[in-house]
Amino acid sequence: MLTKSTAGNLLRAYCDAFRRRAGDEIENLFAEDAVLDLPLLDGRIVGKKAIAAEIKTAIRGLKNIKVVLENTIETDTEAFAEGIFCADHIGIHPLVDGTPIRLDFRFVVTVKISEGKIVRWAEYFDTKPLKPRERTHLYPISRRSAYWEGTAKAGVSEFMVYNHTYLPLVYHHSPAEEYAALTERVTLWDVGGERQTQIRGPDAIRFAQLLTTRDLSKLKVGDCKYTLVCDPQGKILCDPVLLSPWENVVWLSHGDVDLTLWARGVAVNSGLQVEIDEPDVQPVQVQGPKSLDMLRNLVESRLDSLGFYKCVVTKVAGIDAVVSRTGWSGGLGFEIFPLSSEHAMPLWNALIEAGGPYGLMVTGPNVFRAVEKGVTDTAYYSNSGMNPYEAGHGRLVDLEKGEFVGREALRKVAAEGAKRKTVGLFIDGELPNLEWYWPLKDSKGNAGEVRWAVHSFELDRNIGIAIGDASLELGDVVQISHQGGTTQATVTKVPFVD
Amino acid sequence: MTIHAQLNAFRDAFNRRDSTAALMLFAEHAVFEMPLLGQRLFGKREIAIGLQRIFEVTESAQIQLSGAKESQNLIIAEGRLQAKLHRDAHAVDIPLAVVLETQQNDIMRLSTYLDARPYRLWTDGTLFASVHAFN
Repeated sequence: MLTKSTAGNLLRAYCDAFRRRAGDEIENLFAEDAVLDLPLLDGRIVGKKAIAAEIKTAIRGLKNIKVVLENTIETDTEAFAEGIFCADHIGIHPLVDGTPIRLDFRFVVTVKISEGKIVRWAEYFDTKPLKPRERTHLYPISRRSAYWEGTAKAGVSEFMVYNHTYLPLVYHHSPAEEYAALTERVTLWDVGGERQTQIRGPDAIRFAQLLTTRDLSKLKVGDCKYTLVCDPQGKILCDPVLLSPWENVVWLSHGDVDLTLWARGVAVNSGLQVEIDEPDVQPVQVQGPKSLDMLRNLVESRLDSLGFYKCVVTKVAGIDAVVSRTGWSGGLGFEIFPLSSEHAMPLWNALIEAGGPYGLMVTGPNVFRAVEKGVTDTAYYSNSGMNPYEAGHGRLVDLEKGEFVGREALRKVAAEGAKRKTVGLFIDGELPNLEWYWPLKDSKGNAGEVRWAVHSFELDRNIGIAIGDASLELGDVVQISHQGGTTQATVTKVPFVD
Repeated sequence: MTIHAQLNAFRDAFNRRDSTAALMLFAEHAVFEMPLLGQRLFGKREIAIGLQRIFEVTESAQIQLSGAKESQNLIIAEGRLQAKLHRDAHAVDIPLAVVLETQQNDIMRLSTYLDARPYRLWTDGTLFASVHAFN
């Protein structure tokens, strides 16, 4: 029997569909030109398509949803109700003491319909208890990024210390909202903590050859390369993006390791004419499918013709900068390196303004997407004693290019075969926060470590990347121990998504 | 008095900053919920302090109601709260909903729903620090 499309019935249908995470059903309840007012959103959402996108994003980030309507007063065309919403977040870990971070609140909703469809949906509730209450305290011993003012305004609440610099990770949006912004629109990341080790001088490329594992003999100005820096034992120190912005200048844009100190030490007895320093260059990343559209008119050079892993010295919003088509999202995106932190905030403000029409969201680097795409970084290798072959990066080692730090050790590994390998995991059960690497044991009793673990929003399941015994095969089942107990996982390939 | 009239009477007293008139509308053991105050207020004594607190920290505070639906003992209304704090240069304008329940012509519950996140820093202190001043 068909239910009459009164405001009250559509209100109840919406709540029921939301509880079942049935986004398509909700979409069909709205009129084409409907409006949605919701305190959690940054502004009014207009149009059925945009409303559906927001609601589907919200649903993707929630589970165990309950909606209780307590007091409903309705006519055929309008319904006002008071109720309670409860849900578990996906992708937000409990507090250290185990307190879950939930999305529970009381609300009032008002619904107006016309011709059997919702034309206005407005909710009223207090978001303060639902958001991070305040940002992490900072201490002057670590550096603030040059974009500090912008990230504070954007609602940063949590940082990691990266290259002795506070790197913003958590803002006030949910992981699902940030993931949607990255995969459907465009995001701006303050990665001022991503430092450049600058090698300058007539022997700059020769020295970079000595320091890194890939062959740079064909490197041209404007090229970038993803490469590795190893210690003499062949263990990975970091996996920088190498940029060649000018003649006789190489930047190693690196993860959380004192690479400049290391490079200075290696340079001392190298006999090569180079100067090593860390310039006052603090990048941002603009990542997402709309990044090119957003930047096209802001960057003086023609970005459309800038190839993958290429860079150009140009102006961005009139500010001198290097722009590279690189980034940590595994998709379309750019890194912008202003040539002085003095111009960092003007650059940031110009990017915020330019990104408005494209739905730009300020976020931290998105680890959910990075793991899905198999984009690991220095954090994956750190404190692991991992060599490139174990990391799945054997292709980044050119043993025949000439001398480089770690070559002899890596030659031995290559000849004997790596004892460990990097694998993907589908992990069962709830995921606690990965505050240290989780021990893993395979069916033969070999040990390993889970080094990344997140919820995959694309696959709607928990995934991880681990290092284990070289004998691990696709489909093997392994045991994992974490602070929530013991669970099992199935070995799969990396990346998890194309 | 109808429930709609009760709601309008509260709104008018609030907008006049007349805490005495507003308080007279409440039952002795009523509940008043206002996110800007950070908590639920029980009974006339706490409600009086809460209202006083609002009027102390604001230079102006006006509730405007734009639509309401009512049953016999309950009314739900939507509108806006415009308020200017003494410390701020500009007024804020916040979407607001109000749920009011009555019993024998007295307000038993008045719940206000608004997003206080950007505006609540000024009540992060102890609300009842000055309770003795009212005894």
